[in-house]
Amino acid sequence: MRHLADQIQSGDFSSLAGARLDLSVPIKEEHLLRAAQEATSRGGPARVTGLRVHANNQVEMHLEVEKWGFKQSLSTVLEVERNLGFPHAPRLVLWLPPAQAWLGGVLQVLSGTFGLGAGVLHAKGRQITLDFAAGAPDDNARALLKAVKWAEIDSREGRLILNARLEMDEDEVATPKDFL
Amino acid sequence: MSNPLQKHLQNGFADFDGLRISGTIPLREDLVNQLIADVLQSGLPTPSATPEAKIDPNPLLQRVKSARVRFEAGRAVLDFEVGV
Repeated sequence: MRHLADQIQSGDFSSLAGARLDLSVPIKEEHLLRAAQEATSRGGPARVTGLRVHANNQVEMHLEVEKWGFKQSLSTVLEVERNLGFPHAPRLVLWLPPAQAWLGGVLQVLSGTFGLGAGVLHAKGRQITLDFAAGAPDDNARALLKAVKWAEIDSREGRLILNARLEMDEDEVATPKDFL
Repeated sequence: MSNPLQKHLQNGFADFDGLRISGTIPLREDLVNQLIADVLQSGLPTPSATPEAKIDPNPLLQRVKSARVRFEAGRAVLDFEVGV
C-alpha cells in the first residue's frame, strides 16, 4: 500500500487504471473560512472576516475591504451552483444576490490580489466563476481533475458536502511522462 | 514540500467527519506482489530517502469499513468502502 501511495504522490496514477471511486466529502465551514482567509491574506485589500454555510447551497460571507484609506465592511449571501461542470468544464459557479450584482465587478478587479492565478476568477453580473483547470496548483491536481467524471456540491447547516465520481480510464490514466 | 493531503491522511481524516469513499480498483499483478512483499516484511522499517515527504496510508486503512477481492475477466478486483 505504501508503494501505491508513493506512486500516486509522484503523479503516477497507472496503478489505479480502471478504478472507479465514489466520494462524499463533508467540508466544515471553519475550514472554508480558513481557506478563504488564507486566499485573502496575501497583502490584498479584501479580507474575509466571517463565513457561514446554510442549507440550500447558501453561503453567507463577511468581507472587509481597505484601499486608498477607504475601509468598508460587506456582507453577502452567495448561492453555490450544485453542478461543478465535470468532466467538460470543471468550475465552481457562485451567484450574488440581485441587489449586489455590482460586487462581481469589484471581485473581478480584486481577483489578482486574492492570490488567484490568471484566468481563475471570472465575474459577469451576478455570476462569479472559479475555473478549476486554471487554478490547479500542480500536475497531480490536473491529473485528478481529468479523472473526475461527475461532481456536485450540496450543503447542510455548517458544512458543504462534495459528492463526486472518479474514473481512471485505462487508456487515459496519467503517468509522470504526461507531465514532461 | 509537504503534500496537503498528508496531514489529513496522518490524522485519519478526523477533520472530515462523515467522509465516505467507496469504489472498485482492478489489482495489477505487480501491485499484488508488492502488497505480498509488504506483508512479508511487516515490522521492518521501509527505507526512504525523505520519509517526511511520503504518504503513510495506515491511518486511512484503519478507516476501512469493508474490503473484498473478487475475480472478474481474469483479473483481481478490490471493492472497498472507507468511512470517517
